[in-house]
Amino acid sequence: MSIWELLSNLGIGYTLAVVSIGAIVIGFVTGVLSVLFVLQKRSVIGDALAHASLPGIAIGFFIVLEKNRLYMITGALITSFMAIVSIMLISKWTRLKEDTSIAVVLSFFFAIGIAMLTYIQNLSLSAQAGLEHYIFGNIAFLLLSDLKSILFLSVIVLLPVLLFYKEFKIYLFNREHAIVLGINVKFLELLLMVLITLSVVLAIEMIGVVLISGMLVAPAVAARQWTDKFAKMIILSGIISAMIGVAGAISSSQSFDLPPGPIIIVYLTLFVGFSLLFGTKSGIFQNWIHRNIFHRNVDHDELLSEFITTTTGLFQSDAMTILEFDREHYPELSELILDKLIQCGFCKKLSGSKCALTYKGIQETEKFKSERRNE
Amino acid sequence: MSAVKVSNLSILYHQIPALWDINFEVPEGTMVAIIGPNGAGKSTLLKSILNLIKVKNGEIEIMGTPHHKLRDKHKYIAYMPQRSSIDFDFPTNVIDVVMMGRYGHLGWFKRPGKNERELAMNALKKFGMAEYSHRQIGELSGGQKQRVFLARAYIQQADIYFLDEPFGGVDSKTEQVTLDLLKELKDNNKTIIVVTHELDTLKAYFDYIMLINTQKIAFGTPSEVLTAENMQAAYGGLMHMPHR
Ligand SMILES: Nc1ncnc2c1ncn2[C@@H]1O[C@H](COP(=O)(O)OP(=O)(O)O)[C@@H](O)[C@H]1O
Ligand SMILES: [Mg+2]
Repeated sequence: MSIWELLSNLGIGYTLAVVSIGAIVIGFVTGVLSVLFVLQKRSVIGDALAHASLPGIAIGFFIVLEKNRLYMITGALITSFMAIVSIMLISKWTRLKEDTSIAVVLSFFFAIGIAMLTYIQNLSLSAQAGLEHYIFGNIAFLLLSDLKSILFLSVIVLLPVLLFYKEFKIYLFNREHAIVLGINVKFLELLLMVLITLSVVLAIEMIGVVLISGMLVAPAVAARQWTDKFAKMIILSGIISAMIGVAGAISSSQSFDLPPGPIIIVYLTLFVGFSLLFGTKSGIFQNWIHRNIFHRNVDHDELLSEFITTTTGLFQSDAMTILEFDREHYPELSELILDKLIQCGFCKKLSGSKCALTYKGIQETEKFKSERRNE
Repeated sequence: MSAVKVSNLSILYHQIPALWDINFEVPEGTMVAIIGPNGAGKSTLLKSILNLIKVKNGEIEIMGTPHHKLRDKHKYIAYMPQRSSIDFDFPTNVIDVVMMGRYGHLGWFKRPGKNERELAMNALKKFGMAEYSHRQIGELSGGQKQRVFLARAYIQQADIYFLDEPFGGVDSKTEQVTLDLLKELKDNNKTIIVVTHELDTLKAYFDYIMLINTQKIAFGTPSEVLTAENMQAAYGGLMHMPHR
């Protein structure tokens, strides 16, 4: 008995089975990549990559006049690369901010992509069918042969993540440290860009160009609310994205008018919202509990001692007495502590990030220091 | 041979100089402080030595080799960045961060194993952080975070140590641990370059002091550099001089 017979015995149609497997695989790969993408903190670049891949896909189609993945991928890689290079050159040669140049390049490439797709639509070729799906996505027409190339591409994307796991981790956490250790960061950045483009190409049929950056951000954001380990976050993000991908694909195939892209994004957004509220690691609810249960009974002494230990550089020095300080130099002085200190009248806010210790605050500090010396 | 040699270094950000014509040499096995007011270019100087900023004007040599040609960098250079430059929301824990100090030694593809874990654990013990080894790095106080990064630099066992503001906003225990480490490194004949703006209690430890404010104000032994005129030149009216 083949797997298809098994599935059909379970009441799952062949088409739906192919579509589901496709959605799971695509979802998993984009979920994994989304962690690297989000932690790289350059999400605008990803949007540019996604939009810039559209003309490449159209060119790939033009060359062979059929939907051949290899040509489309190559085309997408080339135009995405061109987009990145133009962004870098514009940022270098003009004084435009990077996000401005990204916006310019992004809309330019996207416009060309749309123009080319429209042109292809009007060619009245039989092979052009379904090319408009690249805008909002479609997965209902996925064939078994598509599944094979999807699997192949997925392995190509996931393998480097596995191989360079350690390098990606240190690069994403602390780029400068990676450089100092002699790790080839330029190579990693290029590789990551290629991998993101590949996963864009992989997911573009299902989600569509317009919404793909959501798929590259949301799973990682959701996963982060439930774990604070890098490896776990990658796996969790892959699973979340696969589950939501398949749920979206099935919902879409049940109602033919809705393409899967928007459905998937709605599901993802709902799940991100749920995770932000109830996530065990940095969910709002958790933080609220933490703040209100654990910090309600904070007494002045504890607060002050925390304040003093984080700012000893300023106040312990015997030679200098600077009462004014800049919050930016004390990242540990959290908003919460500062608020309490202000409430207690130990501190006051000046303009911008500047703060000052009040007379009362100085007295308390002195008292605290002399107590500690006597311990 | 000098551990670090900086010649005619200028760094511009959007045509505005952050460093202007800096020259100095750090002999091997010495401990040097880079001091100056906020925005003086201290971090910029450190980053350009480490080749983290592209140097277009000037030359920098590390152990006699131009810094961009240095191979096996991890054997020569250990760097503790300024704490504010780190993303403490990153999903990783204390021991993992410390083990990153060995990533350069491991080379491509190899994963950290038992050996790295042991080294990291010993370093954490040394800095009084053993009990926090599985904490998420964001859940530590400022001083504790600092000790994690000290441990990371320590297990690298490099020849030259670069520390950016290790005394900024830390508790007295961390300050003590940091000082002990500096002494130990010095006894082992390592070269140490420290950016700091707190010198009162520390000047006894340093062989040389580099005082900058975009330009070099003075370079020499502490008693040569820490004169009233030099401080006035570097800090202008900004600093209250000691009034004992
Ligand atoms: N990436 C950057 N782009 C533009 N200006 C910068 C950048 N980094 C630093 N600067 C500027 O260069 C000057 C020196 O900065 P920095 O080296 O961080 O000083 P320090 O570490 O002595 O406080 C400051 O005026 C700062 O605003
Ligand atoms: Mg600095």
